[in-house]
Amino acid sequence: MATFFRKQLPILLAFVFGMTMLIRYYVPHPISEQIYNEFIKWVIIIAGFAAILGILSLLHYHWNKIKRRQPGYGFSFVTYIAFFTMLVVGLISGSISETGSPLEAGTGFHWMYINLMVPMQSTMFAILGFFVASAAFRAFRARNPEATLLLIAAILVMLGRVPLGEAIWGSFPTISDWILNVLNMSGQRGILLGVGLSQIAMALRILFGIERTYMGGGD
Amino acid sequence: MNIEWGVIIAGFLTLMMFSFIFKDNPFFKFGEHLYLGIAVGYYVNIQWFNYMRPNLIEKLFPVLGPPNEATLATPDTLSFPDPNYYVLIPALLGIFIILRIIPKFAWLSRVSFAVYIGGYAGINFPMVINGVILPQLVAATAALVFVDAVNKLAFLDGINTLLMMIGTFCVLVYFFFSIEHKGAAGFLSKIGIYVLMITFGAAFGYTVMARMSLLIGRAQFLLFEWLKAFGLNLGA
Repeated sequence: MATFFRKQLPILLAFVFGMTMLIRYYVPHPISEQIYNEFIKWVIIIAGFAAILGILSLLHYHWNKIKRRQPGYGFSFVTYIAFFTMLVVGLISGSISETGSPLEAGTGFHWMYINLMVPMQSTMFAILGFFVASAAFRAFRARNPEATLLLIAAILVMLGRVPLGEAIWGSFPTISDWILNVLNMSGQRGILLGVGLSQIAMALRILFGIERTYMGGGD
Repeated sequence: MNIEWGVIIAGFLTLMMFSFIFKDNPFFKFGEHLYLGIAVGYYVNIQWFNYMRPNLIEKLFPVLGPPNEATLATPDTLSFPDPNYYVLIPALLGIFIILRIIPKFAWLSRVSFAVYIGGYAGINFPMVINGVILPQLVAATAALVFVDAVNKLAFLDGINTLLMMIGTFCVLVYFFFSIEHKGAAGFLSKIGIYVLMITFGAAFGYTVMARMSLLIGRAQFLLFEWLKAFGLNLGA
């Protein structure tokens, strides 16, 4: 019986829920729509609890760093303080705001979002530009025809997107657009079709219990 | 003078994050850990107020949510929807996921994952066919038209359509691993690789430009907003 609950039941549930969702797509009825909407709400709730697990894992990792006095453990305090401050300010902001959203302009949460989170987030992505460029310098050296094509396409698209490129040669934007709209599009289309077909194959494998990696290892 | 503390702090945090360009240092580490804590705190709040509260808490305790719209005009007879106890099922499935931290009950999370992944597989199946595969196939097999609507010669448009058709076909041949890439298949898959390389190059160029745009945005903030908070007005 224990084996049934641990091994067969998950496969059975995946089949039942999967087939229900699949069949309801082809049944244009309000009940079918209701089933879909209800399932989406269920998924949102389950994902919310899964997020708690992720947060617990993060806090546990930093707690261990502090407990063991590992190098740089002081920064883990920063994470803890920042997390709980944002959490408490957000809960208070959401409770007192008129719309019920903590992001309402004028709340403490909104202030922290605009003045702490947004600048750090955009700077983090901005500095990635430097590292992408340096990685590209090492990776894109024209060592073979494939790398050369990649390099040329990247340079042409970059030159076509900035006023400097147009100042050097007026046709750069046209070439860039052609690469994006024709060659890039055909590649993207091939990738999309490949991914789509793989998704269908994977969905069938899950529905029929062939794909079981979501169950993890062990008993 | 009204001191804009928000702008001043944002500027210092921007510089802290930028300091990583030189090398890893305590200022960046501080900023990095601060960002992590704030981002997680932000995410929890958004998750709570936008998803968990309306979909779980307010369904179990309707008095915490908005009243019935019909009764809004008459506050004396304000009424709330009936509780929906069905949401206890996904809540229980969610608790099963949290139980992964207790090895003895970790297997229970399989049930939750099965419902989640199985359900989504069923949703995805028809949606991918109708939303991705068929529209992309229709677009990839567009008619080769060498004249436009007013019968004007549009030779280049036709050539472009043909190039896209060939490119897509060659990429698909490259992704088809059931046959050995030799002879004609090898030739076509080689062209597929070239098309993919151009696609990746274009995507890379686009990404770098997006990052540069963010970089310019941060530089503008420092020069025109942050310095202004200290009384240095550089214009713009």
